[in-house]
Amino acid sequence: MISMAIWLTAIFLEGVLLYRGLRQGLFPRYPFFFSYIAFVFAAEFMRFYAFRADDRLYFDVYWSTQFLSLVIGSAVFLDLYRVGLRAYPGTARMARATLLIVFAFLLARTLATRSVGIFQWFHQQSEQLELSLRMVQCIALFALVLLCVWYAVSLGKNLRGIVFGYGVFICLIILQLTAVTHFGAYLQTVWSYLQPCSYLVVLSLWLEALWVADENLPAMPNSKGGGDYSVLAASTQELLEQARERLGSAVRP
Amino acid sequence: MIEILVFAGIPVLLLVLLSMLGATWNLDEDSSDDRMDHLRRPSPAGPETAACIQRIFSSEDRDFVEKQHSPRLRQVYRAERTRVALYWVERAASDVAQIMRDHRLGARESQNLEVAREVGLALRYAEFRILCGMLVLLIRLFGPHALKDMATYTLDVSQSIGRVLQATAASRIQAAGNLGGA
Repeated sequence: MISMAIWLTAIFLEGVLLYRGLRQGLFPRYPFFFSYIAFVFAAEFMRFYAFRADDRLYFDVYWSTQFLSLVIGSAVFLDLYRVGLRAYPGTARMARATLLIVFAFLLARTLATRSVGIFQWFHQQSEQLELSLRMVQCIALFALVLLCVWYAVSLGKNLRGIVFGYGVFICLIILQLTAVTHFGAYLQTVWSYLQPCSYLVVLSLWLEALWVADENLPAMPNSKGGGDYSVLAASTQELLEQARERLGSAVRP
Repeated sequence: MIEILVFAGIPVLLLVLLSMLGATWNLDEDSSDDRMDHLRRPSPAGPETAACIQRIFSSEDRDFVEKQHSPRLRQVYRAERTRVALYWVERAASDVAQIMRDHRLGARESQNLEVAREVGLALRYAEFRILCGMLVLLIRLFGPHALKDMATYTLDVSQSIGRVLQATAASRIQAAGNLGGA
């Protein structure tokens, strides 16, 4: 009864989120995020139908839609990259390089630790597979958010809410899946309540952030392009060396 | 166990980072805090300043205070000198933080940013902050003169090793000369 109430509340909140997105004209602004929400909304109905029809069918529908929503959810990063970093070409360049390094590292690690490579993933249990993929998302998002914080990128209320909510969502899922896969099946019952509840929290965060369209969108790239990087880096390097020299000369005998 | 720590640690770190998302504290230049205001003014440069800084960490004044044989004077001197030294290190760190703030503001909009160079600068900045942190820790623990004492001691040791090596080399050359002559 409780799980059914949580489920219906989640469907309702997703519906409201889509409605507000349409009313506020946020669909074209954040197409990947709203595509993801629309997919999850549709998937909820499929799961609901399967749940009422047959247990086995529900299990199959649940994991296949869960896997697809995970893949589509990864596209939310594109909104962050496309809209959030539009005015910051330097940060966008750093983001591209960082994500490339992160994915190369993860791929190398996967190939090195698993004898049959990434295809081994498909033989894992559903929870373990989801945990591995969520971890990849988590590391990629970590790298992107780190860059946004380092360069003080102004994302605006809407995008900040999307990223924050999605980040919290990923973190909670990883923590829950880690607990379930490492501490046994007796946590499964708690998880079956905890995961939908945390999803409700995330939906509330998104609703709060996307209730009204943000008018202060990040500006378009400056035509001057922030000046020549070589000159900027050379002057910063020189100033850092001077400061270091001052620090050293103070304690030098 | 390590796997659990990694799987739990990375999401927790991400949550901490997410809480900082959108904050401009690392670029904010408006603050009413007087102390920070002092620190934000660029530190004066020039030979006089350099001499003053040398003096903060030098042992000349300490030797003079030691000769007075007054525990109270020693205590006051140590407390004041520590405070001045800490202020100077904090100011140096603040100056460099300002340099990096200006750099990040420029770099984030730069069309031709060089990733390797940017990473190098960030690492250099991290190294500088670590050095400042270590300096603050050492000054708090052992006082401002400890560093110069340590550096002097290291120099003395290296010079004495150099002298020993020179003497050894000279004696070997002499011994070889004697053998050649015999």
